Amino acid sequence: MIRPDSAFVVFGSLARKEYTNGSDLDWTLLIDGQTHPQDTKTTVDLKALLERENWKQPSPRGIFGSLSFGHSLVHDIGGPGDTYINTTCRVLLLLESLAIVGGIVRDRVIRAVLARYLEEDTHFHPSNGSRSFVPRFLLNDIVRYWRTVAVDYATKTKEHDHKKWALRNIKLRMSRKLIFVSGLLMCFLCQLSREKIPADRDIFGDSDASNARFVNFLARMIGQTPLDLLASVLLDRGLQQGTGELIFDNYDKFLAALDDAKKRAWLENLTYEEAKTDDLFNELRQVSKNFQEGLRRLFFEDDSELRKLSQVYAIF
Amino acid sequence: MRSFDKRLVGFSTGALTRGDWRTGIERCRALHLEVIELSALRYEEFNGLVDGAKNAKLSDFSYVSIHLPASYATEDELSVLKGVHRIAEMEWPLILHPDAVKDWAGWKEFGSLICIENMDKRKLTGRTVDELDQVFECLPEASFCFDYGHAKQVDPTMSQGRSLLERFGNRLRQIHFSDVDSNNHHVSLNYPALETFARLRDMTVPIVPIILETAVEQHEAEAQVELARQFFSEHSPFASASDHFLISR
Repeated sequence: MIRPDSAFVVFGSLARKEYTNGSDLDWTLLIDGQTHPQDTKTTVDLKALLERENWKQPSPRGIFGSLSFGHSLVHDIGGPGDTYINTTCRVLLLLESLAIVGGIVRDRVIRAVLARYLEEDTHFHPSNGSRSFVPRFLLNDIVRYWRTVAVDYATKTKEHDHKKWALRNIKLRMSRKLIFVSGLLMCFLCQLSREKIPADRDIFGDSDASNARFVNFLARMIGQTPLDLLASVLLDRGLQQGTGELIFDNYDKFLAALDDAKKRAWLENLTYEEAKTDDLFNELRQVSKNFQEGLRRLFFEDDSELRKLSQVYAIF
Repeated sequence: MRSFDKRLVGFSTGALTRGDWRTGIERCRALHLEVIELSALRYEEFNGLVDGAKNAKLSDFSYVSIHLPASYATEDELSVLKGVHRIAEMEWPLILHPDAVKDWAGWKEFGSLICIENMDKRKLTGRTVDELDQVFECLPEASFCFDYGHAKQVDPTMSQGRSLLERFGNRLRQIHFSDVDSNNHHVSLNYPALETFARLRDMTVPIVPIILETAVEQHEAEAQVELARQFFSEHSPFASASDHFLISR
C-alpha cells in the first residue's frame, strides 16, 4: 500500500510512546520524491484500514489523516508558503513523530529540514570564535510553533462550540508544553553538550562538514521521545531530585487520567461553569501547575547554564 | 597535508558493457585505467565470470575487484558461495550487497575479502549506520565499499553518509562513485551531484580506489573519469570548506 519514497508517519501520543485508551491516531502519508495520483487513494485506504482496526481517527477538518510533502516541509520554512499545516507538520516531525512504514524517508526529510535550519544559521557567525552553538533559526521555529498552538487553542475551542475544551486545555498545559520543552532542550543541548558533537576541529567553520556533524547530533536527539530527552537532561546535569519528581510524577498523573475512560469522558463533557467546582478538572489543573513549577526550576533555578540560555534565547 | 593527486579511478565492467565483462576489460584498458571492477550483478553472469576471470590477463591493472550478484534466490546461495570459494584465492575484494545475503554463516570465512556496500533507498537494510552495524556484527572482519550515489539518495544532506564514513571508514577498501537518480538508476556524474558529494571529500583517504558505475558510452567514459579525477584532485573545483582548511593548514 505504501510506495517507495513515502512513509506512514504517526504523531502525537503514539509517537511520544504515551498512547492511552481513547487517544486518537494522528498520521500523515509523507511523500518525498515523485508523487503519484494513487497517493490520494492510499490515504483513503489507510483511513478505512485504521477504522476497521478501531483506531480513533483524527479530526476530518484537521491537519492529519492526509498527504504531506517533503518539498514543502524542507523549502517552505517561513514565507507565504509556510502555512499553519506546513509548520505544524514540520515541527511535529522533529518533535514527536514515528514512521510505522518508511523510516528512511522520514529520516531523510528530517535531515533535510535540519540542514535548512543550520545552513541559514551559519550565515551569521562572527569570525572571532564567539559564536553560540544554539541553532537559532530552529529554535525560533519551535518557539513560534508553541505560541501558535497556544493561540490556536482559543480558536479551536470556539470552532468546536466549546466541546472538549477542558481536555484540550489540560493537554495544552501538559503534553503540548512537553514537546515545546523537548524542542527547547534540543536547541540548548547543542550549546551545553557541544563536546559530544564529534569533530576533528572547531565544528563551526561554516563548512558542509560541520553542518553534517551538527545534523547528526540533532538527529540523534530527535530519535528520543520527549520524556526520554527530558529525563536524560535531568540525569546528565545532576539536577535536584525534587525538580524531576515535580515534572515526572505530575506528568504520570496526567497520563493516568487520560488513560481512565471515565475521567476522559468526564473532561470531554465538562462546561466552563461546571469546571469551576469540578474536582477532577481542578486536580488536573494543580497537576499542570506542579509540572510547570518543575519546568520553572529546571530552566530558571537549578542549573545556571540552562538559566542563562533561557534568559538569552527563550523570550527575546 | 594530504595528496589527492594520485587517486586511482576505474570503471565497473557492468557500466561499460552490461553483461559482457570481457569486453569491459578491453574498454577499461583502452581508457588506460589502472583499476577495474569485474561485475556479475546478475546471478546468471557469476559462474562464467569466476571461471573466466581467474585466467584473464589483468596484470596491467593495479587493483581488481569483483562485484558479486546483487540478488539471487535462497536456493542459489550455496552456488554463489562455491563461486566465491573458487575466486577467493585471487584475493580480490568481493563487493557484496548486504540485502542479497540469506545466511551470514557461509560468508564469515572470507574475512576482509568481503566488502560490504552501503545500499540505496529501495533496500530494507544496509542504508544507515544502524543497519550496517548489524551487518558488520555478522561479518566482523568485512571491509567497506562506500557508494556516494547511494548515500546521497538516502540522505542528500550527506550527514548520514558522513556517519557511515566516521563509523566504518577504518574498513574502507573501495569507493563507488556515480550519481543515482530517484528511480535508482546510476547516472552520469554531474555538477549538482558533485557539489553534494564534496561535503564528504575530506573523509576518504587518497589510496582507496574509485570505481565509476555510470552506464555510459565509451566516448563519454573518458570525460567521466576526468571529472572524477578533478573531483578528487588537490585543486578540485569541488573542494569543500573542510578541504580548504586541510590544504592551508
